[in-house]
Amino acid sequence: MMVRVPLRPLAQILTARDSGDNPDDIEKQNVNQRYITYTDLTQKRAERRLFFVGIMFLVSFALVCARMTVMASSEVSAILTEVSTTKLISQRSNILDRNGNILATNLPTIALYARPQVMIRPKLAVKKLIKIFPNLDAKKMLDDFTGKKTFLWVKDKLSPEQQQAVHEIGEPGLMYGPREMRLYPNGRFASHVLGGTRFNNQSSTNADMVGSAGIEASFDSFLSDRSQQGKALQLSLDLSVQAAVENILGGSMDVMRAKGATSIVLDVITGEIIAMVSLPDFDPNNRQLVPLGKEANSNPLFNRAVQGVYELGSTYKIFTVAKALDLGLVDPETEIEVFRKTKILGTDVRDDHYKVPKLSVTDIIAKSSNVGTATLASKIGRNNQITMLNDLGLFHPTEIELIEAKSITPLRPKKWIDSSTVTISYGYGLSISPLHLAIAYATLVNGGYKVTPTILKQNNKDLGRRIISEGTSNHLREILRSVVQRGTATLGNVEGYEVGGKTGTANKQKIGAKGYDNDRVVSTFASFFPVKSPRYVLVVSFDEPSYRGGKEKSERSAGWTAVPVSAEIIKRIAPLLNLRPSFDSDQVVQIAR
Amino acid sequence: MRLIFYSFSLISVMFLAYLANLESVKTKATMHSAKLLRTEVGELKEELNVLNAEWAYLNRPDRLIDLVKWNYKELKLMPISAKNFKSIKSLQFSQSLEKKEQ
Repeated sequence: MMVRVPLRPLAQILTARDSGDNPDDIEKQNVNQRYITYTDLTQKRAERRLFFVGIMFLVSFALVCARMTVMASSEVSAILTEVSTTKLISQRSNILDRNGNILATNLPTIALYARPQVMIRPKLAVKKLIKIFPNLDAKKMLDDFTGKKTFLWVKDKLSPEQQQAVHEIGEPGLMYGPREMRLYPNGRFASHVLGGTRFNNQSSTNADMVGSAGIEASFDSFLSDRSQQGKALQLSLDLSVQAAVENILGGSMDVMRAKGATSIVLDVITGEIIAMVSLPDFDPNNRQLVPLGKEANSNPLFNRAVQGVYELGSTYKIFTVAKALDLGLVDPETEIEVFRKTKILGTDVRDDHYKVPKLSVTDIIAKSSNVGTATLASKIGRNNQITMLNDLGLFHPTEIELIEAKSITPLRPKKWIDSSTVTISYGYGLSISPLHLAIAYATLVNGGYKVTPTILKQNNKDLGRRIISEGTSNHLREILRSVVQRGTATLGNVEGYEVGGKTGTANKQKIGAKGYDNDRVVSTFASFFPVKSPRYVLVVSFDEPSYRGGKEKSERSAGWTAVPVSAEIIKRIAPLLNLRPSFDSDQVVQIAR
Repeated sequence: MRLIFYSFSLISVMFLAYLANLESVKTKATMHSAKLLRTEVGELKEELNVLNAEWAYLNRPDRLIDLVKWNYKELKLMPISAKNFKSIKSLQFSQSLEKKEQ
């Protein structure tokens, strides 16, 4: 606290008077002193304030500089995102085939919704809407329009013509919301692989699309991931091959009056699915949800190629032979005694149509002998048989990326007794999907490497682990070739391409009773081509075919049904797959100028 | 001297402020045109997508097969098969061509 000094201190005045000085000088001196103290004080205060203001200016300047530096050094995209307009299009990535053809894409469309509170003439609106959309339920719609609801969806997708027609109703309570719809431009082709989508979380301005089946469901997170910036999903399917297979199979299914048919074309090295057909099929643009239920087999949504498990009959015989050859128990020429009727491991086995006493291992497959195969199965034993089938992947779901395949486990006996060993060797007692069969055949003929199926295009893929030796694989190729040359599949010969394969005609189990039905069969032909250096496996299977072809008795066996159809398919698709045909004769061709 | 210094500083500040404002106006204009361009790009992409979808729809296998059937008389198109291939050895060039070569 500052002590205020009086201007005329009495002590000093008295002293000055005593000494004869002028006491006013003392007052002047003190006034002067007081002024100096005051100016010092105000100067210091002003300096403090100026310093503070200076600091404030400096901080503000630094802030402005920093902001300018940040703006100058920021990325262009950061600014662009701020000004980007939100576009609906390409909400979901496209799906392409291996050659870049579009299998699934998006189209902008309009959804119709209603606000009953602002409707003027709801009855008239319902009447006119029914004329435009005959499938809508008029009664329910009228209840909704006249009820307490404030908002309801009328139609998911509107074509421009339909939108115009709704406009012309002139009802202010009918409104439109922008949408993106999934379009499958190829219609029914590859419908089971593609699956379908549905709308989720609908609002008047937007709706999410989610995959409900097939690839759309299993790759849903990839397809709907916006950070992929519209990167397409490329499948291993070849649209031309798929279309050719689907057309031939569809035509044949009608001729044979079969309940269903399926076909798979598989690359034996990479495991890529080139074509996958399941009939009857559906249009993914208009996928009607029908629960699979008990009659799943006749449901168009059911994918027979991966979801259907069947006892595929004699096509299994090659697995037993493969193990016997691989163990060195026999070679292709080894002769085996074949009785017409015998007991093997306590199970009755018959071969009604052979009269020869002995068959070579090659002929056991070529002529499809149950007794011969069962004899070989008894030689290799139960454990070796189980190991072989397990190595070929016949006990587990396939690893294909389709959502439907993940839960499909082959049906095998709960207890693997001796009779199981015998019956499974020629195709009864183990139910697998046609895809399982294709994978197993690919493994047997590609040099013996395990094949992992995939629906995505592969550029480079390492070979799987070895299941059988290369020598065994070579033998199997020759044996399977003999089936087409002189065995049960002679109708499978294709000009220019060497085909090998094995037929299988399996009786279906009786409905509601024990035993098998002779009139209801699953006819299958598992083939591969070209024999010398296999590239593709083709599996064709018909459910309950019956081919008359001008004969009195209808033919159901694979040799008359699946085999000629396979031959027709190979004839069509081999050139599409860039396979060079082999030339038997060098017939001279005149080239015109 | 001090007056000159102060005047110069003031004029410099005003000039720099003018330049900064000019840049700000330019940036705003560029951002606006970028916004317009992005909208245009979005619309063009949408159009391209629709055109691609239409092209895929026009080239769907069913339609191509029908076109082949309808135009068989003129074009005589058949599925490609092994018969369409021959080995190079089996080709014999016409004599006129050979003579020319000689």
